[in-house]
Amino acid sequence: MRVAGLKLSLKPAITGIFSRSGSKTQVSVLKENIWIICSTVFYRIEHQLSPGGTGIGLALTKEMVQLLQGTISVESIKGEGSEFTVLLPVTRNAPLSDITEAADLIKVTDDQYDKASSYAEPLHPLQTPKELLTVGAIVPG
Amino acid sequence: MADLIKARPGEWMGTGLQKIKTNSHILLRLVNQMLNLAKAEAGAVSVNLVRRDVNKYLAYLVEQFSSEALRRKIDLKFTSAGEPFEMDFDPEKLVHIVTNLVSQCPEIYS
Repeated sequence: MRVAGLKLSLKPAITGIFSRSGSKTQVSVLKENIWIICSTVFYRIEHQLSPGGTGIGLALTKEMVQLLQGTISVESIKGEGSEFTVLLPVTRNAPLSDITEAADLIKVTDDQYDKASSYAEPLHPLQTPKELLTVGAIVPG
Repeated sequence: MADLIKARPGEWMGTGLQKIKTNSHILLRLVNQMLNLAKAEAGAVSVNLVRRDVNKYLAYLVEQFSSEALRRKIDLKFTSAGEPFEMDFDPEKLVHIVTNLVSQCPEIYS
């Protein structure tokens, strides 16, 4: 049974101006962007949603996005889902990487996976907020 | 918790140790996040751009979450135009961004 949906999509976008000279239409590119859109859909809203995390992960994401000179925004509808939109500028100045496989760009070893996921809110089954609540409820006797 | 294990090891040794471990991990994660946030705010994080097909890279990143999504009963999809899209990006920063976006999908108790 799947209870929630998550869609990550990538959309290139160009902002430009159209100009016409004679019968020809020219487009001059002003700005090229890429959108990373992450939508969450809740299929079964009758279930109680888990409490959210600390929000530090999201604050850090915002810093990362800003570092890349992009923007991040969110739109939520209660009980239906939310949509995070990351907008990153497109440049093509960096040296062409001779690495051909995506996997080689970042080696996801166990250690690095831990490191990467440490930026996020709980991913590990034992690190869910549910577990946190359980621990808090125990009174030493 | 430690006191409880000491007092009644038979009852608390198993679950108690696991809880201590889990909470230590949560704390460590939180400390790391705060540390990284402080670094980012202080401008001590550098951008390392490479020019590559960002489409392929993102698809690869999302793929890394497939088993995690399956376990959490989340229907995870990645959509794009499918054509290679070459641009400058920082592979490491993108991992953080995607990891976080995917993690925003809440757990649902059934």
